[in-house]
Amino acid sequence: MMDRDQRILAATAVFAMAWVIARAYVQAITIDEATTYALFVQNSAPFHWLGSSNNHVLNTALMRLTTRVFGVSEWSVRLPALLGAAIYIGACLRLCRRFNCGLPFTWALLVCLIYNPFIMDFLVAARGYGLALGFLMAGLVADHKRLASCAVASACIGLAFAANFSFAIACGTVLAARFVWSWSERTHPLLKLLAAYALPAIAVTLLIPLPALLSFPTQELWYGSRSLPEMLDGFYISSLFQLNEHVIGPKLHAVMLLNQRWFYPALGVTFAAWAAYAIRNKLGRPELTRMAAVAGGAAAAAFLIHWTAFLAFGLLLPKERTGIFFVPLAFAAVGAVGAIPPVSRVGRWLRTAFVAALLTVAVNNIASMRLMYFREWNWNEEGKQVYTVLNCLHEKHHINSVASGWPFVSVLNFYRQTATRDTFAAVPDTINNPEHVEVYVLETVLNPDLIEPKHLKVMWHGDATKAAIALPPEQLAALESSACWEIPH
Amino acid sequence: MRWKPSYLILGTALFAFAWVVTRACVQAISIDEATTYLGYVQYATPDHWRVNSNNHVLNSGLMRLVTSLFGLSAFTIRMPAVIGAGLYVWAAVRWCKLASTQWFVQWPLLLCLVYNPFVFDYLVAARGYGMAVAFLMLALVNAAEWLYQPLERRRSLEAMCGISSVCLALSFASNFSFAFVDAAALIGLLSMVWVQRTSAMRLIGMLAIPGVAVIYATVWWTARHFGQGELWYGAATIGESLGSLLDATLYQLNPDLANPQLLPLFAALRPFLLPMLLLSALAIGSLTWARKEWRPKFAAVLALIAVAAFGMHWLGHQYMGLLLPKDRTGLYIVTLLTAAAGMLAGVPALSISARAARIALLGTMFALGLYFVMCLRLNHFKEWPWNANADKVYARLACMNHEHVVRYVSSVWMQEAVLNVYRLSSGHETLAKIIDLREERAGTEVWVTNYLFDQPLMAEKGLKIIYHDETEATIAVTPELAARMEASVCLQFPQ
Repeated sequence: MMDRDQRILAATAVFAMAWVIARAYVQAITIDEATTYALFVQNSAPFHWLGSSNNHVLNTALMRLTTRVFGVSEWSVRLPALLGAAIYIGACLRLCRRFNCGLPFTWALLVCLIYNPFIMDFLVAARGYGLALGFLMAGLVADHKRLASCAVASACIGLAFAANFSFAIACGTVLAARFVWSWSERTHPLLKLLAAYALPAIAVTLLIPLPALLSFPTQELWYGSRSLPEMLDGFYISSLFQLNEHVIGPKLHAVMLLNQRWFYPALGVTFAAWAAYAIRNKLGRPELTRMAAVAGGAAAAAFLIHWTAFLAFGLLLPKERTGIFFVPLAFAAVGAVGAIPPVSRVGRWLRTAFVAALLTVAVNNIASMRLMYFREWNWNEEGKQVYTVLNCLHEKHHINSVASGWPFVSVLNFYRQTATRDTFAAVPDTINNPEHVEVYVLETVLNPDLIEPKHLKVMWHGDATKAAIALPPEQLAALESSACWEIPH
Repeated sequence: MRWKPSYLILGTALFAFAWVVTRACVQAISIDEATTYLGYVQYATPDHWRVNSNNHVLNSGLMRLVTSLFGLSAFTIRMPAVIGAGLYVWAAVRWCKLASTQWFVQWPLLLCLVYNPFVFDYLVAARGYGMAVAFLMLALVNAAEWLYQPLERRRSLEAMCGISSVCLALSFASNFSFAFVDAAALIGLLSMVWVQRTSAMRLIGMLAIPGVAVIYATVWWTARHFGQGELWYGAATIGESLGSLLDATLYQLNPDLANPQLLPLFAALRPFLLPMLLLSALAIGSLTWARKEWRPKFAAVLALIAVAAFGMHWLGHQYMGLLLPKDRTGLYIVTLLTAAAGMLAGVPALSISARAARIALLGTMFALGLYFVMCLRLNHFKEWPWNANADKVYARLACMNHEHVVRYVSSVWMQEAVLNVYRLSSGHETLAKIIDLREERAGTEVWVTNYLFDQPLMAEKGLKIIYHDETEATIAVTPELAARMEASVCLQFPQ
């Protein structure tokens, strides 16, 4: 690749990392992040070894470290996820550089791997998905010939599993596919290769996630899809979620919104046509076809195992984030096939159509970039503003008793932890049966039946969400005219 | 061609240094660090030349420089120690290079040299131990590299002798308790370069003059006036001395890092790790001694330096009443013996028995290295665990000063110096100097006590406890102040 192309790819990756860091800094904490912090990080006892579907051991342990070192803030709890993001982006950049087949294609592929809104959300969120994605991709792209690199790949895949148990099957299939790839080269004795692929992953598993694995309550595996369409729909919707009007102009926004549902089908059709042509004409470089086989084979095997487990044991299929690994694996396979150079005019046309579809998806991804919320927990976008108002009420009017429902309880309690000075009392999840409540924090969509029967008056309402702060009648006289309601959103 | 450390070695070394810096920033100041600052650094007069066993001249001098430049904080008073840590980690990486070119020798050796919790504590603490051990190890590795490098890549004999001599002098200037080991190392170096057939006088001159010049320029006056009365810290028996080193080396697995499945396994392995290391090192040493291989001989020199230093202490103990090394004052024994074990692990095994011994040694070093990594901690030193929350205690006192105009505080000796350092570093409070709680002072409303030892005092004065943590640090106040503080923000700090 030319130096200029390399620089453009590197700049694209660096910008993505900067965007992820900016999001980690400005975005309000969400319910799942705050719950992870409250349950497994905050306590002085080492609760990060406990088995629970919400505890992603490696991520939780690192959150514990970063919050002890830097204090509690949105940024410090997301630092492990940022580490995962850096590893993931670096691995994707390495993969795309390896394909070495024209800037439009490699750039579009890189954008599809990194800027996909589904992926980008989890490169920021303080959960284990970002770390797991990073280590899985690092394991996938590591060199398959040198024994030391095979051992590093194995350790990375072990760490991906330690970061998130929902990657278990994908980790197994990627490790197996890589082993077959290395073995097929016949550069090392079988036993040495087996040891290089098995021992580091086993050592990592023994050192990090073993206790959580042994104490994992199987009844907690309640999150998942109950059918194939539901599973695929989850990926589809997440990957196409919400074009950002701030990023693209109104005209393009309207055009893209109208045609968005065709982007992935078009990519699928053009890719299938190109792949069929390449297979029929026996095109391809060995390293590309093998990478396609490893990534595609690992994704297909992971899907088949999940499907079998669903049919045989009722284990739910991956849903949205729990199947996030399918996205980079699929794009790695697609990229490896797409990087094959065409040899005829028909081939050039087919490939051009495929690259155009890939570029369209890439543009869609860039047009969906956002700063302020995650798709899955968008109702928490204004959690910090809610806390600011409540804290003002506490400081100015000595409000101490706040009632809230599940969308806000852990978020508000998280912000209480970040306070360096006195703040209001811990918020219980008692919005329907509260006792002596001075202020209500509610979601006007989820709690519409609460406002009228209790004669609540909504004093503050979020701009972007349905978050609201309401007062019971007995507090109106004292608080209605407070300056706290005027705090800028 | 210059040797480049592998990513594994480089990453492990950089991580260790990053951990040292992190600890230096976040860990609360301890009593000995605070006493050093208050005694020899705080005032405009050059008190860092003063004669006292707590004054490690070079460290105190550098603390003075750093705090003058950057102000007073936990990190700035530890900056000289952090510089020492950087030098020590660098020396350790060079030891690894010297021991072997194989990663499975280099890596466990680096872990054992650097991550040992005993060593690690003193790479952070604002005392002279970290710098002293760093300069000692640099002096030795510098000589070893020179001796065992091909002739064409050697620097001059004068340069090697000069650097090692200066390093040993700086080690002594950093900490007087390294006097014997520095002397033993100097004799060891002299005997090793003797074979270079340079004239004896020239050799002695090359090794002695730079070091003497450094000592004369720095600690000469302090050392000359150092009396035996200062040497009150030490062990009375060899058992106590060695026991203190073993305890510190295997101190406390961190349950945040060692998972509950591994904790009992490591606890079961603990008594066997060091004996296994010793036995397998002795076995491989004896099995390879006769070969034309320099590493066993150099390992023997390192061990002899440690033994000779300990022997000098013992002679001093027998005939002059000096105490034997204890805990930190025997830090060099651990690092020298670890380096010696690393040298032996690097010897290629040519027989089945030597191979078995080498596997046992490497296996033990791996296990020990892993054990040490599991001991990493952020919040306290083994020797002064009661100071782990001193910063939190001071934050409450500061709040009481701002909100309730509390000015007079008395404290148990464990916290007194530390709280005074925080008082000086904050500069935002109007607290008077915090005094020992045995002294009476009119107007005192707050006592910082130890919950285990000071209950009678609290009962006698009718104090009310408003803060008590897991280190047993306690804040007790008069009933009148407790009444004033009933709904105080100072009682509602997030934990």
